[in-house]
Amino acid sequence: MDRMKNNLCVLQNLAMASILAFAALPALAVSQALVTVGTLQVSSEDLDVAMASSPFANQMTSMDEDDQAGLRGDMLRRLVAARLLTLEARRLGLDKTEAYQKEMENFRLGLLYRFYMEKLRERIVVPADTLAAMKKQFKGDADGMTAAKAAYVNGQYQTLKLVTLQNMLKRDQTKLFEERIKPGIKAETVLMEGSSFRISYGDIVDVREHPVLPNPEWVKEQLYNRGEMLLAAKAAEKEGIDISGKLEQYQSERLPSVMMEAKTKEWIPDEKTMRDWFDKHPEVARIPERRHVGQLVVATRQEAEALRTRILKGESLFTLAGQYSIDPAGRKQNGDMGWIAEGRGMPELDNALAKLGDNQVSDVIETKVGFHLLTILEHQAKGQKTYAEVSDRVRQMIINEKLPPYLGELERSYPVSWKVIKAREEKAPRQPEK
Amino acid sequence: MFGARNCLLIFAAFAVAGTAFAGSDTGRDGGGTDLKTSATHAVEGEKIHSLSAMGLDGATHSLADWRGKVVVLNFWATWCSPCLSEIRDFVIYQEQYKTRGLQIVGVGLDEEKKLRNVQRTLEINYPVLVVDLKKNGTLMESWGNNSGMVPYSVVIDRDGRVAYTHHGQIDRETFNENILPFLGKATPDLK
Repeated sequence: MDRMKNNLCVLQNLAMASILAFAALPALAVSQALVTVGTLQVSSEDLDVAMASSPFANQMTSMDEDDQAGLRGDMLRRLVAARLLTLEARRLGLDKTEAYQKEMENFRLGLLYRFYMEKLRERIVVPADTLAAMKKQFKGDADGMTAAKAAYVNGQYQTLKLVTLQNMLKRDQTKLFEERIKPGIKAETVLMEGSSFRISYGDIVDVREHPVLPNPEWVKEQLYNRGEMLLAAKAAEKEGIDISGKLEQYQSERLPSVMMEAKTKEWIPDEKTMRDWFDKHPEVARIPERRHVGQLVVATRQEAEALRTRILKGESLFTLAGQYSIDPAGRKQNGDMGWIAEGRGMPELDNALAKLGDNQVSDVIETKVGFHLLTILEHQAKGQKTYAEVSDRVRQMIINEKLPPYLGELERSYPVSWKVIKAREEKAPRQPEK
Repeated sequence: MFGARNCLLIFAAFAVAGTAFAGSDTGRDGGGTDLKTSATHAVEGEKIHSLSAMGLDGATHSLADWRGKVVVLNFWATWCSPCLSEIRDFVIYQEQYKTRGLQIVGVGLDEEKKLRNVQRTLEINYPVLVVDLKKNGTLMESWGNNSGMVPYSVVIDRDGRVAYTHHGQIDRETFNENILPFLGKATPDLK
């Protein structure tokens, strides 16, 4: 573990410093570059967008300033890592592979389809008399009103979508060859054809994954979906719907993942790599002993001894903890500390717990906090998980081990410059490197 | 939609828990003070008698502080996603309509520290009162909200009468239709 920590690259040290700088950084009205990574950059807007779509976006609103700054710093570090991976992926030509190009094209078509259908939906207006009736019925009930409006729009949308698609099929003189969906079908067999597009069997079914024809009904469904998507996407293109921004954003998120997938294959080429790692790190599968602990803490040994005598005479440690414990959280819970795994907490207490049987009361234990009395309500024995149970974790641990030095290497090829530190360094001194 | 409903249900559970523990002293140091509020239910058209509570500014506020203004009493909590979304809009409305007599007043049903953090992060430009739910378990009920769900808003007109109540997030359309008509023309100061 220590070696791993020492391996943490400059990137992380810099990110730590940026966290400090962030604490004093006000929200910026205009987007500015926070970090440049080779030829790319991370702007304040990029960071805001990433934070807004993160799972902790709402929770963050009520956090303390330092915690918010910490999360922003952490996200910034992730965005910098993503830029490094993007640059390396481009250098290796991972964005030029057939699979990547096909994925991007499918995403582009899907996006065009969605935008076209959204525009179709936006054209639907709830008639004034219907709207008035809804308002009367759902006065003061925002959710009810929203649901009623959505139900009306949905109904109209389904009809409009059907009519629009039928018109498109007619206009494009689309021909359907469903009878060709039968055993022996080839990837190049054309199943749908119009004046502006053609769909072959290989476009909708991965023949490597399905060497034998799967359920024909499922194939037909794929065909209709693909046809619908292509027609709507073509119509969207004709209308000049611009999706370049969204496409760029998707690529900036996807390319780092593709790079990571490639590196992961390199780091973990086979199952044996994982098993070897597992054999060297058996602690990853260890289940520590867990104890349901009761605790009472007081300020003097004399008081602790007196309370211990009362407990041995039959009084409850929990009741006394609720009255006398100097630990506010412990007092609030009447001394019930919940389940604690071995190795956690102060070593003096952990050692004492290791020797304690169920429902016994410990001797008085002195720590820097005070004088403690402990009891264990119940034990859960230690154990060992199997390789199969922890294989996902093993995989992640290998990646966690390999990634920081790899990012460090990338940083030597693509220099990272932290503008946020430069902007604030006079007010926020950098944290000394450990 | 699912997120919003989830949020509301959690609140309902919390409100029940608050009531259940109301009689026991758990030693929790809630930042809020007791709300002195009339038991009158907030029915549209009825006159509100009194309301006073400590604000995040440290001063005790009462509805009388904003007499002559159109008050939007907005009940919210920091864990409620629609509440936070609504507050972002309220900050804009308050700035936009302050000269027309709009006074939004937040009623934060949460820990003072968290409320203060939200106030800072979202740059809330109107008063936020702090309410300790354990001491005020039936507060929202007395303001016409029996479900215990947030966000919930009560609009009080210039005469001190409940003009409108709203369950859920107030969107622009709802604001325009149900609150805007109570506001007057812009004046320099309506204190």
